[in-house]
Amino acid sequence: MTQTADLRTSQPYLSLRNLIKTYGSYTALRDVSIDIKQGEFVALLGPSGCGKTTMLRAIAGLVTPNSGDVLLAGRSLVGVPVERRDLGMVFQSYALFLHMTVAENVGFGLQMRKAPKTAIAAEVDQALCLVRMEGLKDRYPSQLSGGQQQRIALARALVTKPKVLLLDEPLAALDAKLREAMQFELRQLQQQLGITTIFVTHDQHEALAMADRVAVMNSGRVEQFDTPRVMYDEPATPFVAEFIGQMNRWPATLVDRRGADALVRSDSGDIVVRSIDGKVAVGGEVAVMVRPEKMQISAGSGANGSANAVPGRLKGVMFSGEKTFCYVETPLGLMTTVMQNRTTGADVGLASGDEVVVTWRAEDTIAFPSA
Amino acid sequence: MTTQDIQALSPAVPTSKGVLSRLSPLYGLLPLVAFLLFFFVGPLLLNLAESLGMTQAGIDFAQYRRIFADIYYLRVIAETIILGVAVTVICAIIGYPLAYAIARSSGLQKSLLIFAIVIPLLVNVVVRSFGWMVLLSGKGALNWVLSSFGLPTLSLMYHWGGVTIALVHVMLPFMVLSLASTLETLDPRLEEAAAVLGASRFATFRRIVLPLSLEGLMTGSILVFTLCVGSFVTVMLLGSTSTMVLPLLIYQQLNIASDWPFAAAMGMVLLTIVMSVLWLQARLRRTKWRAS
Repeated sequence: MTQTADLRTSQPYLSLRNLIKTYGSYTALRDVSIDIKQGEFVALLGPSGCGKTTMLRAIAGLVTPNSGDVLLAGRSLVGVPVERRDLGMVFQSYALFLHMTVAENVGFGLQMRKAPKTAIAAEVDQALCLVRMEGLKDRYPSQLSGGQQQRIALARALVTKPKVLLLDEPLAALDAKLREAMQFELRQLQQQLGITTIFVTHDQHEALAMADRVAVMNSGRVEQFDTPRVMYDEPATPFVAEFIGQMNRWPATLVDRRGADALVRSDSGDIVVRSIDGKVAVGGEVAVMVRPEKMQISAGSGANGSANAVPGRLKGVMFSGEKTFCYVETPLGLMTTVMQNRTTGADVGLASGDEVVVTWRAEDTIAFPSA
Repeated sequence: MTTQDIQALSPAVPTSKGVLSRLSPLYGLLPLVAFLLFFFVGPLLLNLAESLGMTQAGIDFAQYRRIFADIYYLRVIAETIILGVAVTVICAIIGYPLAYAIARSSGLQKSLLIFAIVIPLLVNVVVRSFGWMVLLSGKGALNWVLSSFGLPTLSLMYHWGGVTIALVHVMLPFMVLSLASTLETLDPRLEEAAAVLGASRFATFRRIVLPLSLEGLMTGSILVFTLCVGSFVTVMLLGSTSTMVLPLLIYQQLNIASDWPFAAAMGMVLLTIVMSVLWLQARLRRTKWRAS
């Protein structure tokens, strides 16, 4: 039992192989290859113009790649027209048919598949139930709120039981509160249906919170494709490191390798770094990165037993609810540290201008070869 | 009046200021309204009076009886309407793909397409009609080409065929531009959404694009039909007595027969045809799904 399940999950369900897409002199996709498992929720994350939407549209068939292949359950989709790919898609603008009622919108896909009328009515009811919009069957899209329109668009995409669900920034038009609620609901629905889902977003929090795996894209390439946690803790490239979450970054030179760790020399003494790219030779330039929430800040100048310490002067404290940000001027430049406000009345106990020391562990320190 | 006077008056007439400020945007329309009353509504009423013989005492429907009792005049009315409908339908069929291409293109391509559509309007309609005469006449360019290929020649001049071709050429820009302006507002994502849901290109057109562009099609059709049933120069130059339409008949009654009351009555019939088409459009216009 377990073995067959493992076998199934280890088989890629949707594969992109060496996809290339150019528009004139502009390259939207440069040799993109990823494998997606059945039932997986994958987020395509990146800045605007990174190629994530082009990738989604290439899967849908709305964009024809210059070369490369899209395989669904082992069969090539290249040459299969959009309307026969059997996919579901939700657009950022929802693209609801304004002249049709909610029920007609949701039933459209079934009608195109020549389903009998009674079956359509039943399926539409079921799909509307799924997105909790049962009561709005006879409304027109213009009579619905943004959140309701979004649910109808989702119901319309799900009703045909597509092989893959494609979501193109479906939550971008919603306000912050509603977006958070929908993120959770969408994820629940996806797990309930077990539908393979690809989600395009430029919001890193959305991607990390919702996806099984995240593909971070940058100028037409997939920089890293992994689980949110690995993506966050072990970024594969400087771009991923700085695109997801915040990073303190400064230059240094590789001095020595000692097993898993490495020693780099910076303007403020030596720093112990977790694993470093094997290609960097001793004496090579590196960029050292540490996340603000991995750093500690304390008064005085002692290292407190931490592997790494750098002295500085507190420049400012910014309280932002659940967190407090401290900005410290150090010989390595301005560093940001974050403190969780766990206890009531907890205060940093420090004021601007105080002499402080910033400390952090070797395993929280990463380094990339300088570009 | 000084400011003080106005202030002294204002408590006595508290509403007048409110009414005036509410109407103020409409003041700008007054010259136009005056102009239309004097030069459009006035003559129209005079025309109606003329057709009803109201210069004498009482109302006389004799002119209208003359029109509706004579099979010849009824045929002219019918053929005027048929010509209008035919030209409208042909313009819609030819114009739709063109309008779609304009709506979906951008930049230089779009400018060139619009220019190509509009440029016939820059040439005087008389010149254009003479151009069609050169092309379509018995020894014209079209027949020269046909006969040089050993094909039978066509006699389009002085027949409905030639008139229809020339009118379609004149009216096409109106149809294309009103269709394009509606199609432009259509989100291309709608067609993509339909395709992903399994709709063929034809189904997408029939179920999505066409219903959503009905408004533009309607506006274009009204424009073309109205201009068509009222068109005079093209029909006169390319037609003959066998292609008689209402405007030509009115012209004849005025200039040749000098029968002003009869011409006025026919003018009212023509106006009624146009007005009833406009009324029909207002009835058919679906507003149910639009945001209130």
